Amino acid sequence: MLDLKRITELVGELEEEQLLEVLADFTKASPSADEAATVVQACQEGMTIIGDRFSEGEYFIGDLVFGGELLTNTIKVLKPFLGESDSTISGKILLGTVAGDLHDIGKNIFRGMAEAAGFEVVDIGIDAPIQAFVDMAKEVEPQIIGMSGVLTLALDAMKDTTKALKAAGIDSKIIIGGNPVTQEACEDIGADAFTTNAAQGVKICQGWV
Amino acid sequence: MSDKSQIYQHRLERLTNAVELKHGDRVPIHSLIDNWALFNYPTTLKDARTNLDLEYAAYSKATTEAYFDTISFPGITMPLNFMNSLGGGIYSDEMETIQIETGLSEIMLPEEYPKLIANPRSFFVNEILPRKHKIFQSGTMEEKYQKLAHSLSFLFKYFHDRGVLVDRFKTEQGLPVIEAIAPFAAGDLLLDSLRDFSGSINDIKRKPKEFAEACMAITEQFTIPTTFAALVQPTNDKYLHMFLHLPPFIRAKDFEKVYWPSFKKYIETFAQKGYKFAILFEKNWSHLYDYLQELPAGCILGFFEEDDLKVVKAKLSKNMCIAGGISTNDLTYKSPQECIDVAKKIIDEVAPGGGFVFSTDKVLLGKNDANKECLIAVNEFVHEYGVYK
Repeated sequence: MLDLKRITELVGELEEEQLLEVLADFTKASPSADEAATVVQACQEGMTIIGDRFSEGEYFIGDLVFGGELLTNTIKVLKPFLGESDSTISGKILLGTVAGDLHDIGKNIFRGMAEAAGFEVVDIGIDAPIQAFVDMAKEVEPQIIGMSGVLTLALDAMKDTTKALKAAGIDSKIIIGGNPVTQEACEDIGADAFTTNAAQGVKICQGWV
Repeated sequence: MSDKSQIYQHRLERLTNAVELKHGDRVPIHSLIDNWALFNYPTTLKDARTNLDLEYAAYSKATTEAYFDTISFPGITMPLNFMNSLGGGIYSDEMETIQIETGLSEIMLPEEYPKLIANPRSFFVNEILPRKHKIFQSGTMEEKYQKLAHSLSFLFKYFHDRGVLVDRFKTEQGLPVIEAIAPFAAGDLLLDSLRDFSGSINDIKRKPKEFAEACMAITEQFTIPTTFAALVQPTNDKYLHMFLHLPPFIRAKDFEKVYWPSFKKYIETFAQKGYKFAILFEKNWSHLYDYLQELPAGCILGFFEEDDLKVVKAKLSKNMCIAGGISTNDLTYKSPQECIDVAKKIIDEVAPGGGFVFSTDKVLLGKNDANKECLIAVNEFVHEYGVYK
């Protein structure tokens, strides 16, 4: 019988080799879609462990990135068995790195952790113009809009984007994240929350839906 | 000796005392101003990089409006005209700042470590450069050499212009510019120029031995000889200026395996010969202080960004001069008086005993990195208050 607790632990410990061995044995037996879905769920719980250890200072950003890599590879292995089962969506997040900033590491970590927590994430990439946020927000109607940036110049773009979103009547919650965001910046920008910690950011989003 | 020459020597002596962990007359104030100077002037990166007088006017305005004893950079810190002439690379200057676009620097494949380890120089020249720069991707060998020679003329002009700027700061302002060259730690070279962030992290987890061996090979066969060639003799006003990116993102046990041995070797090699270092310990290094305590004493000016400087001073004051004190966030969002209060607290806590240099927590790049009035007020206060009695 498959030990789901062990799978969660292996993800949490970032033990890629052992995890892939366990998954290889599991897929040899041609599992059902429901069985495969329980393994995905166990992996997602492992991502929660990674996020908690990051918040406690035991893990670092590199561990979050590698955790995302493990989850992506796990889902690749399991995909042929997953079928079209309905997975529960926690909520929808529109996400992008704001105009003028070309960085995407923080954005991608947040996306990976948000998806692992059950959010559907619409990612509009880096250097995303104000109008791209507005247009996509009208199209996908997200509960939450996440803006990311590494440089302080991103703060101006976040402020302008927030202003444009509000002017367009979009009332999604707005969270900003990245190296330069602070309480003062958050208030100045008019966002609902800020974070420099992706795991914490996901928890804030979970509190909103 | 002219007035400016005396001022120059006096300021340099102030910094040297701090870096050598001796007691000076005052807390030195150091500038990490880069592209912020262009916004402050105001001008643009595009205009300043083609007009040396304008470049000097912008950078010298920023470093004379506020008081500084020493500065890191005399002007624009990347040879953009040279890089553009190569047909592009990993840097973008479209945003009025110089950024590496994530994803563009994953140029090397994970299975290529053995080739890199065997001969880093050959690997860079024969494998990496053609992938990275358009001028090496077509034409005969002779045509490629011709294009390279043309590009190198831009690089030589950039170096010549840096010399002109440094000399103008010295003779017109009495202001030492301390960055001689900016060598990469090998782990950061892999991160920034070969494997990008995700690739490097995956390699550290999956093939730590090869990552560490590559770092050591790059250090021994490439970075050390290149540094010796670029800066033949150490002097008190020429620092090896390093910006360390990777360590704050990895655990201590990974750092110890993959980054630390080659980094330590690089530092020890040049410290033994009397060179000095200005090192930006980017983000937070609190999980790595035990390692830094092994670095040679009295030759490192260590800038700390997110660490608690009081703790850094307690942990590392026997090894290195601690630099920092005011954040770009404070300089942007707080009032001049509130910034002064922050600076006073830092000086009271960290300056006693010497071995401290006041500076911003980050290189000033964008226009939001400082409110000028706050920067002027803070530096004026520190210059007056930071006196050793």
